[in-house]
Amino acid sequence: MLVGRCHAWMLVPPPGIEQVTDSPFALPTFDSPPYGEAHVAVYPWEVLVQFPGWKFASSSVAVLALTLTACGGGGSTPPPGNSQETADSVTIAIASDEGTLTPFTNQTGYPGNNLVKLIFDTLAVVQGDEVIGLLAQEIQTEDNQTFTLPLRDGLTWHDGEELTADDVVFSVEFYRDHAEGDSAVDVSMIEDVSADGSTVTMVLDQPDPEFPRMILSDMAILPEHLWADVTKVSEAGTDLAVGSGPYVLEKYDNARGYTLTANPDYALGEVKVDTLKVAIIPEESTQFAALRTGEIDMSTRIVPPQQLDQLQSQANIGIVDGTEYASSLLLFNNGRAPFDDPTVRRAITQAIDTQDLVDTSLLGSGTIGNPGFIHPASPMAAGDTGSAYDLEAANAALDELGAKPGADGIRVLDGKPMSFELLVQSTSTDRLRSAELIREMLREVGIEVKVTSMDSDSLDAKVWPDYDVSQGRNYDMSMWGWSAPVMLSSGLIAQLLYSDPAKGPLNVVGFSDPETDAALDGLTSEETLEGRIDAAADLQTRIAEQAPWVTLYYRDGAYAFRSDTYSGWTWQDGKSALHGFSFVDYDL
Amino acid sequence: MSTATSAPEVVARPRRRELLGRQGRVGAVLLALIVGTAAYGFFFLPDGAGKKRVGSPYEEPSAAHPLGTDDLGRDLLDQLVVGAGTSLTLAFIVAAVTTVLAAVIGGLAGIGPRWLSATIMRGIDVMLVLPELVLFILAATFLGQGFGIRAVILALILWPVPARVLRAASLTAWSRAHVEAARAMGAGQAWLLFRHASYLLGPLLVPVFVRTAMRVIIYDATLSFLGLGDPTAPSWGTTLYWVQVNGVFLSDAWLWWAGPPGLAITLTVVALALVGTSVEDRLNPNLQESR
Amino acid sequence: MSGVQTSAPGSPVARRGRLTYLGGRIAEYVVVLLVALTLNFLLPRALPGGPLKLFGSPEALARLTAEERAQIATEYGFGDPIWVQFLDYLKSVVTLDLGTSLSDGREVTAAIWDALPWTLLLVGTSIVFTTLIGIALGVIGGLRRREGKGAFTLIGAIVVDSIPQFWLAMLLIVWFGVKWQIAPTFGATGPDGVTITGLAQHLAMPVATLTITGIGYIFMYTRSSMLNVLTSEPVQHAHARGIPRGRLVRRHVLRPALLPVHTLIMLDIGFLAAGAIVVETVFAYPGLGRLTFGAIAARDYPLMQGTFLVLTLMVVLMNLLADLTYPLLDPRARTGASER
Repeated sequence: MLVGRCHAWMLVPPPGIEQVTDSPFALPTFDSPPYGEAHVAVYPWEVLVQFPGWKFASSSVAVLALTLTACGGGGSTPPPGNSQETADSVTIAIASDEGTLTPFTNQTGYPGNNLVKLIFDTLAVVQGDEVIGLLAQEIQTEDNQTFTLPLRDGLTWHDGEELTADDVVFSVEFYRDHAEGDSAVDVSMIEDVSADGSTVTMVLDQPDPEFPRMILSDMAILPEHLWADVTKVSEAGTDLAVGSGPYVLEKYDNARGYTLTANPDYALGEVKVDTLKVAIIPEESTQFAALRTGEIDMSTRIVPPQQLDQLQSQANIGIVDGTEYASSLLLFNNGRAPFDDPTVRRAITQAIDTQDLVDTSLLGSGTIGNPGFIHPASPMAAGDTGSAYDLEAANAALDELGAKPGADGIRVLDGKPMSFELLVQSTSTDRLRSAELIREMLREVGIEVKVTSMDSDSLDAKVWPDYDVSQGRNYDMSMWGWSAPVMLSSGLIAQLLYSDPAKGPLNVVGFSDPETDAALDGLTSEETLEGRIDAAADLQTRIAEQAPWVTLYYRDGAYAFRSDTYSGWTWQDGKSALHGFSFVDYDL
Repeated sequence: MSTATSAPEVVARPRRRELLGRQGRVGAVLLALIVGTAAYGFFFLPDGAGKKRVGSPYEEPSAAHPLGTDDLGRDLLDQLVVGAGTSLTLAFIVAAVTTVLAAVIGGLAGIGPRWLSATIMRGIDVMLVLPELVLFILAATFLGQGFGIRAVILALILWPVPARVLRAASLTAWSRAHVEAARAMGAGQAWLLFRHASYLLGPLLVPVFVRTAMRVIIYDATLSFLGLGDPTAPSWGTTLYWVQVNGVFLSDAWLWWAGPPGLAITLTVVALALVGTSVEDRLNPNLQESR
Repeated sequence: MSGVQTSAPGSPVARRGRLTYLGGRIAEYVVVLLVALTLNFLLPRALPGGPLKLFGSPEALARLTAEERAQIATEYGFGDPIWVQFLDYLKSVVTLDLGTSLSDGREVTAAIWDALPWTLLLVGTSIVFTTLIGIALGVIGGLRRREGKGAFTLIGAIVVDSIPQFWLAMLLIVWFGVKWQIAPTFGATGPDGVTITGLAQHLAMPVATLTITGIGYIFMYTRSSMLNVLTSEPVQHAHARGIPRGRLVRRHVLRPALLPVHTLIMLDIGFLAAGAIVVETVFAYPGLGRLTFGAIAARDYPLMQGTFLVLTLMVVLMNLLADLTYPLLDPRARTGASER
């Protein structure tokens, strides 16, 4: 080991001689504009910047101080005596690069979109179960169709420019023209948007009670003075990552990741963590190792259930947990026999013990799937439907169909053995394990399953070629998952089921049922939230009956952090722990 | 030379009887044990051993499960034994094919005409430049599954590195004085290659075989998870894969979960190396002379 | 290039002028480059899935109309006919303007330039250690062959050589990083910028991993090469003539024995940048391997092409360098005449 002796020589420039900082490789100083050129490159030879000391020192060797420094923990031991309610610096780890952190260039929904939302504020924000105004003082509507949004006073962009109602109008129009981008929102339902003084008015094409939650709380407002000329949004640089949120993107470098600093002029509350560093650590085990050494203060990866006890038992490590709305499903290709028969789909659903999947694949850290898809804690939920697991009913249904077991114990239906391929993403361990368990379970009712693991792009190309359901699909069964937003909006739930590809762009199973289509029309045209919730209750009964897919489970979220550095982490359903409420004392 | 321990007739025909030597015999016994274990798993363990859940997840070692259970509650000892068969079969087949491929291609590149040598070497360069991950995914997409396909893909991916090494060795061999002398006396090229150069390539064939066998065991798991095999079939490679993704390294469980398959692979490698170097020593007259 | 050439490999140089020889070599490498470039272009496009997913979440992409999809594809250049894309690609290679990454809109050359120095630092340091230790042990192993312990050293080397990189890396992280906390577990620099201490500390475990897993190979090769030379007739004769062993080794054994090792190492350097993918991923080291891995996962065609191009160029350059430096070590090649 190079540092096995736990000592390393460090060259320290002599006192009185300033380090040369105008070298092309010098790190930007603090007074450089934080919005421009945030993207810097760090190279190993920057170490040479330390050497100008050599030139001065060469005349007098004694001036050059060679200091022995003890190493240990990578030099990032948390400063002692630091209050846990606030912190100077918190380092979080993400798994992959998130581009330049504009709403169009982040790569993932979580944690990418969460980071973007620390830089870009939205008009509203979801707190607990409520939607409250953020940039907007309040959300005024009579009919859920016309929304009046008076903006707060004293709002500014990170570069000091004033944030006006015109910026909001510009943002809506910009999103309308640029649908691509990971955090870009669908604003097609906004028929008209106008500004009057500091008040914005939006008129929708039809009443939508979920508009504040789905759109207003999700749409990052863009500064018109910077974005007006942008055409290729996916090439937006860090100079466009200028928002009005609690954090300013100060630096994005190849070696250390992102550095976000608290917005000193933030008008909506007190920012509790001065510097938020984001390190990119692809390997999960390394993330948790670094958390244990204190090199990072929070991991954005869900703590695997088997490591939960061990992490919790370590001093200075805390866990923040709660409900995640991401769902894990078993898809049937509804267009391919025998899955075109709801009886077969239902029988398979009944043969799967979802409780066992949760207990075994997730070690209990999850909620069993509602046969009607909707998460019991979702705002759309309407009562618990319980598990569909019923082995006898499954066997009886298959017997009734005339699927008699053949010599090898595999049932034969319409002359074909009931033997199917089950696709699963190689990167998802709980789904891989669940697929194995499902194979066992279906074997019990005489159905053979062959598990095929593949990389997620290859799987997507089979299940959802080009993300366009009108291109068809090529699979028997597949493990699948939808992200949290799908669970939270009746509009997106409807998109899962509409038989018309234009209305059902998420219908990856190719489900087609005229009665369901009619029910969906009813759901989406309800004008009040109560009406929608009632309609959703009917819908979930229909989903349970038709079983277009099997809703297996929803994973629970649990994230680990260093409580000795910062313990202000809070949970927000749908966003987990990485959101404004974890860092800001809002004054709304 | 193990004369003291040998039986009387050994003195009469030392070369043949001493094919293995003491080291080699240790290796052979070890190898026999490993292969025996694999055979036991194949013939005597009930169907589905290592695949059925027999306990609760993450059990520590106990009398019922000497190596504990995995994340689904399946017996890790059963998986180790059943996995031996899968891993060793593939490893031996692929290692043999790869070694032969590498020796033939590398040898040809070493002694063949210049245009052939250049073509082969530049071909190897191209092969090595292509990223493995991309090749694996492409193979999974276009070739489908199956034991044979996996073996072929592994051999195709693994041959270039050893071929390059063996080519360099055959170059050295070719320029050696006695080969040149033989050539001067008009010996045919093929004869020369086999009679002389093979002695010089031999010492490298053993590490090539052993190294390839080891890599096959690890790579096999990767291929299974990329769609070229059954990721749920127990093998040493898949066990190690689950160790990796479950973060077992950060807990105490690595001792009984990661340790045994790791040790099994190491033992196999040692056994092969012992037998290999021993046989090679006794087949290589030059090394004999030098002893 | 034509004509069947049957004599020893040292002698092509003797036949042709040095320049002709080099010219031939360069021509070969140009062909390699062209083939590799073509494959680097085609293989990513043959992968299932495309770069569309870089333009939004699946839910957002799903609602794109056919026109919007076409527009994105045209705008970012992956909608053109394949041969147009290929021509564009060749042009970009020639002008070294590799375009912009589809995932974050950065210049591909900039992304590569950011990553390359880190990989060179990591790989370079490892190569130095691996080579020095590997060759030293190999030479000793070869000389001590007769003392009977050689075989055990060899078996040790084979075992060390068989340690998977991921395993060693994880064990180092758990013991040196978490348990004893004497080396940082990830990254290339400390939180306070680039310092010598920081660089060294962050290099420690990645370099250790690459070095330990790389030594076995060099050791075995050096040892076998030593044995070949030691048992060769000239050396045996010299030994019989009573030349002292030390002098014999220094003057007649080392150089010919290390010649093939030199070539091997030179070639390996070219491949190591790609080979450091595992280590760079586990230790979150910001080098080229990690960049390549990310590009493949993202189906970022321009970035993939760019990183593949760099890897190809490295291999070809190291090959060329190996060819050029060979004569410096081999007197036969240098004088252009066969010794024997």
